[in-house]
Amino acid sequence: MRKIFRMSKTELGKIFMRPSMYILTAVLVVALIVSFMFFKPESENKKYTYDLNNTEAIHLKFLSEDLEVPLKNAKVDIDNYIVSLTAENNTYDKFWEHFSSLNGYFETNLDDVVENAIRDNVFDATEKSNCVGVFNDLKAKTNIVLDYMTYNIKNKEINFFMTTQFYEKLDKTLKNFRDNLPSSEDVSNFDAKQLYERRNLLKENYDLRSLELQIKDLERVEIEEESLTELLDNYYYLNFDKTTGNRIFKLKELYDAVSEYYYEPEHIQSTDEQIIYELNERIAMYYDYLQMCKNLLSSNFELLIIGDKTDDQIANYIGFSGISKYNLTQSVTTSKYFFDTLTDEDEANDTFGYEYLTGFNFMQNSGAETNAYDFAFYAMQILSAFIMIFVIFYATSLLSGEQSSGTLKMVATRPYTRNKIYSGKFLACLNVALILMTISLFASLAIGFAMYGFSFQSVLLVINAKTVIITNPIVVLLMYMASLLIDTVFYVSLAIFVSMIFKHATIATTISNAIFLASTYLAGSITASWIRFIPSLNTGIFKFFTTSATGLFSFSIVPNVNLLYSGIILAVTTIAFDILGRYMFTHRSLDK
Amino acid sequence: MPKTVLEIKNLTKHFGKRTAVNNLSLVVREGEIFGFLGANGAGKSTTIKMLTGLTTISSGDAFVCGNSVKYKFEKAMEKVGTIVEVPEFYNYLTGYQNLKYLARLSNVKDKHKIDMVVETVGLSNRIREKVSKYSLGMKQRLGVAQALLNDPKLLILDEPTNGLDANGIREFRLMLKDLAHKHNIAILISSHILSEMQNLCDTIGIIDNGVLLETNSMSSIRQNISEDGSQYIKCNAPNFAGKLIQEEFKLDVKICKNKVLFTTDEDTIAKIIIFLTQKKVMVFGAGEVDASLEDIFLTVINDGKSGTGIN
Repeated sequence: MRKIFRMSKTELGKIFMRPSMYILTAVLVVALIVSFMFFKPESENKKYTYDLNNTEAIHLKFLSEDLEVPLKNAKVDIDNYIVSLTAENNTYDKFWEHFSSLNGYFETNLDDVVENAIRDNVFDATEKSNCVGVFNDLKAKTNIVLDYMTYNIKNKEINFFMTTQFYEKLDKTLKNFRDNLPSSEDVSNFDAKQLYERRNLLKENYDLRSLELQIKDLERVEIEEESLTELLDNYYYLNFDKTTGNRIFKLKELYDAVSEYYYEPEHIQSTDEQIIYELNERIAMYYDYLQMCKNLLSSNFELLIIGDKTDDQIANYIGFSGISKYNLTQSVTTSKYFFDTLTDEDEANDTFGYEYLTGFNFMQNSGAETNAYDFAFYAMQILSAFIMIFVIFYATSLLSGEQSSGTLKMVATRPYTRNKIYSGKFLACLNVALILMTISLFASLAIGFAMYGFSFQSVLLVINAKTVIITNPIVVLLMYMASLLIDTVFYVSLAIFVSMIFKHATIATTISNAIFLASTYLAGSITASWIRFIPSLNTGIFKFFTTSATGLFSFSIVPNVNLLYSGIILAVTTIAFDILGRYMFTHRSLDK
Repeated sequence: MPKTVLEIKNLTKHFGKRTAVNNLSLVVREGEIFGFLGANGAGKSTTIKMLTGLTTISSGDAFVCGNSVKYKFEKAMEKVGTIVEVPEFYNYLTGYQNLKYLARLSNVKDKHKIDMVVETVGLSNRIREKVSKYSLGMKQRLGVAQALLNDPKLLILDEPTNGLDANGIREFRLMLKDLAHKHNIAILISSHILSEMQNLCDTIGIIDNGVLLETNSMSSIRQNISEDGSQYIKCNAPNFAGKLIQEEFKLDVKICKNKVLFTTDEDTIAKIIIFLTQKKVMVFGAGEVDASLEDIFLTVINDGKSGTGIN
């Protein structure tokens, strides 16, 4: 073991003397300066249209605007949605009605009318107009179904699951059907043969019966009444007070507190900047809670609808795509936490737990000032990318590169087993990354502190969408560093493995870095669910600890993954790379 | 009897179906310079690579001071210094920094060791320059320096004089002899330059097609040659001629292919030629035996055994 450390320490000294290290240092310094220049914290972006300079306007707004209205509107939205999910205004039933009407009409009327006309061999104006009528009706009915599909199903106003595939098939079939229906003018000029032919064409090519049967089988959205009631009772703004039996309007209390503050004699109509500022803050806070309330409710609804289905399955259904179970769960956890932890004490202090919303938010500030941690986080995202590129380069050059240049045999002929050499160099790469990242972190914090100062506000984190922790911003940064280190272990083992396969160090570096860059920056734009099987797309486990972090590079959650899944895939892949790479290295002849 | 430093037992290497080294065994002692002689592709490099851990051993083993290379590689290599072909260093570091790096790896504790080996190889005035500026000869010397860092008992050198000029080769040879005879280091050196080996080695091992054909000390080789006879006559019926010479002139003869070897003065040679011609033996040539390693080598390679005795 000591030998591995000795090897690692010696390699480390050697790496820091490489010419490329000077380049890296220069790059990092420039990157730090550039990130400083581009850092524009979004503070003061959520003052709801209230301009500090126009105090009269503020007062007027407060007096005139019923702050309860947005809340009522939220209630109305949700009530409508509940209604659309229950039997009364059943979108499924409506759809079924339209389609079966079309099919029924098609099967009976078309045959009857056309058969009669042909059998009787009468082609006078009356008979022909019957045929014309039927064809026109069919066209109209088809259009009704198509319209319904476009306006309801596609726009998510439905209570049943229909796959995108089926939707497209349905759409295509109906459109073809409609296009094959002859116009009135054509029918007027048809003779018996043409009528017959057209009738047969439609009958043979359009199996609307089987489509009807498939529609019958479509799964309905089913939410148990109990779950629905529980949801409304627990998370809706009507909280049930078990002791008094009264429904307490929690947000109403907040509203009351805000207006009480406003209506204090020295506050009302005040033009004092500080008071206006505080009023502004309270109103902003109220709106935030309002929004959270509505989000909580709608997120919970969506989760109820999804039920046991996975993200892939949901993505297959038209009208339900774009839903991420992870994001929904996380949103619910955060909001629930706030409402659950609102205590009388908080109300007395007028804080309402609001400080957690304004902490270290990775630039998603809700009216808070930025601080050193925000900047450090922003800068580290850029710096760590460069460090990783170089560390990957070192990883390939330490083994593969040194083999090509012949210097590896100097080490291989020393009293070290191949395994120890492999481990020592691996460890050296990790150490390089750790040292550089630590220095970068301190440099970023130093600049951040100089410009924006520190904040000692605690931060709220949600781990793996379900667990809430309140912690110090330094702890958050350390978590981020740990996540970076885990990524480094993964990519170093990948790079060494690749360099064992492609003996040329340059090719190995290019491939490994290409994988790194693509996985980090391009992955967000792909939404196919099979991408979760790609190990490198499971890096950056820090994303499972944040609340919708939108830093410089957004952490997109790949569908159907969670912390455990990503952790396992990374661990297994890293171990596999290590074992295979080691095997290849220990059995390799080192000759040019 | 000096101690055995390196013992190779039935060392074998297969590359798929091809056997590169076949059941090779030899011994090298303290202070001995063992020369591994063979054509290109004979198996010298492969053997050395197996000894130094650059390639795996198919079967057999080698022991350095009693430690198995196969099973106790680290312990075995602790007392080995080696240069395999052209020694490569980190061009962006100085000679000194390179040595420091290697010394650290080998856990060399003595701070003056580096200065000492640098002086031994004669690089003291250039050691603080970047290796990218070194000539091939300087790199070779630096290679020897790194091999000496851990006070080795055994030096293994594979074609170390490739690319050196005559002067460089000579200096190298003097340095090696010094190391072996003054510091009692065992040296295993491989080459295909016969003249060089002749001047340097104490023992010669001839290898061909992966097989060690013959091992012999240089002194006994020289003795054999002189014992065989220092003159020769080349003729068409050497056995018959040999018998005639033995009977008529009472000389000890040895037959080597189409040559009859014996030792005598110039006058007797003239008489022998006339005598043989009278006996209807066709004499193609006569002269001094060239006591060179080249002959021995070629003979050994071609016959698989050295030429001795009347057949």
